[in-house]
Amino acid sequence: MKSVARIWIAFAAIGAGLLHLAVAAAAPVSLMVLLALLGAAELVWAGATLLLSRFPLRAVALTGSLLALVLWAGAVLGSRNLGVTVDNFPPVPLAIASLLDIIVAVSLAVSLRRGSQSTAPAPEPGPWTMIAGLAIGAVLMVGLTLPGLSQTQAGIAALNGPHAHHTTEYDIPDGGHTGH
Amino acid sequence: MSTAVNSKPALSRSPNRLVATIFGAVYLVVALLGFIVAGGGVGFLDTEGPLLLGIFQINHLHNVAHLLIGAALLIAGLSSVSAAKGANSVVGIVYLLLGIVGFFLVGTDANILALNTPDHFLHLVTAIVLLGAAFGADKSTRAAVA
Repeated sequence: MKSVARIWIAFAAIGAGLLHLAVAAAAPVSLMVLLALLGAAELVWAGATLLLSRFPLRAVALTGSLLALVLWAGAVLGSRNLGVTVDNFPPVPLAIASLLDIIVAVSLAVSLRRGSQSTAPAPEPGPWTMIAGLAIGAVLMVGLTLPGLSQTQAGIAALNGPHAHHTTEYDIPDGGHTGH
Repeated sequence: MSTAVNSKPALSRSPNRLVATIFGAVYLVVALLGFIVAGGGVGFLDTEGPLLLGIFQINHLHNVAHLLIGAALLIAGLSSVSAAKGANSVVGIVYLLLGIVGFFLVGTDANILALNTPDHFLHLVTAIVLLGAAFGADKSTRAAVA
């Protein structure tokens, strides 16, 4: 079952990567590059995990998966300066990506706590168990990721047409300013 | 070194062969049902079409794609582990790209496969299962060959 669990973690990283890339497409330029790099790194790491049958660069990947949360929080806090709005930095896809990243981070932390990984492939479960594991993991990942993709700016435009575009600012208290 | 060794595991013992065979058979059935449902009432490249099982939107190009993909997966699954792995990875990558790109084509003239949101869900799930099997399963077979 260890190999199925590792595949699920790779699926979670793929989901987070897809969401970060989709959000990057409409994000302010200053954040677009960071999000695109993060999304690409998540996809590459997931592919390497599947191919190598172990978690590559565990400590770096653990830090990277948590960086996604730091990036989101930082962008929201600095939203006025960075030009971040709910539309170009949508919270639902980012929340789903963060959830997936937290799953990855916790798994990596557990793996690191257990010590070094074997370089030999872990024994695989029976073929039907493996297929059931793959199918359940895929349905869960896509079930989480697709609603998030539909909330990205490109997804909204695709589903509702270009006239669906509008701008909503993050409601950040600024200490004394009465708002508008 | 021999590729024959790589192809030895029986169909029932190889996740890649099983996944390719099952998905291939299902997509062939879906293609045939699609041709019946679409009939003559929809154009080959229409951006909107009838719903298969009341859920998945299709047109004839979509049905042809299902037919080809189903046949490729089924043949590969029935052939060998290496063929199944190759077919699973190629079709998986194609479906992953389609699942992502197709998502942004809905409502545009470029939606020549008449895709809707349930289609994207199905394509992405298929992609993830096929890629997971291709890159994550049958490792012991590969190790034995190496």
